[in-house]
Amino acid sequence: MPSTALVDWRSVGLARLAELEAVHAQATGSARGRRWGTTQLNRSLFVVLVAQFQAYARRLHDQAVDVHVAAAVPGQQALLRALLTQGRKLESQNPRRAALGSDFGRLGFSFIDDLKAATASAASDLDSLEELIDFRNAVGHGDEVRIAAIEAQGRIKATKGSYQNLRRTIDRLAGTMDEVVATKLTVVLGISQPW
Amino acid sequence: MAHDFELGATVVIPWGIDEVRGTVAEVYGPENDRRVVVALTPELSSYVVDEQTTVSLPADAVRLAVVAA
Repeated sequence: MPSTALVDWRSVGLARLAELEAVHAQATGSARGRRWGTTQLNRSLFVVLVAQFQAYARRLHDQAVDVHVAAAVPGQQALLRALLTQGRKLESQNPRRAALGSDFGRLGFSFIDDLKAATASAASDLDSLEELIDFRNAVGHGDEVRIAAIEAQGRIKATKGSYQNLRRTIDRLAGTMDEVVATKLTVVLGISQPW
Repeated sequence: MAHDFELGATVVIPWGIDEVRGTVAEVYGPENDRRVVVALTPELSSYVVDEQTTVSLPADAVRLAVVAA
């Protein structure tokens, strides 16, 4: 069973992306092939993808903190919640590998290493996440030089196809994160699977 | 429990066996699991922190501070 965070990502989060994808389809039609004059619309897909993934990551962290707090004695619970969320990077920073590792590391395990060990694709999925955020930041800051550099490297292009590939990658990473957090919480806290 | 916290509102949150004050920095999450990001400063939080930071709590754990008349 997935966490509520993952359920929400795959329903609410992806539905919000689908809204924008529908606008894209209305503007460009459904036939295959290159479309012209859609660059800004395509770029916005990447921005919203990062925003939704950040919301997912933070919700997953919230749920994991809830599990930790539930396992503590009553007198510790409020303080434990405060310490596990104090200065959380996902509040204000992009959901990069460093932010994820720092925030989830407070839960008592080495999150990034555990992700990489969990599936054959996780390491490259994390690399893709970094590239996605690089691109999102370049778009968000209107940095055309940086956008051109990233596209020239062939890592990401402002096309619907590139976006769809990354959406699948990020969805796979979200699923891996969900499983790793649940499994590691059972070890750290000596409890059954929390979700 | 009211969950319509306004940004910047002064609130009271549990801190171990005590309570401290902070201000609402963000409210997020679905209606059935609303969370509040509370900004803490040394002065407002009775110095449980030594620099500005944030914590995140379920909305049910946060209440508006009573402002002295």
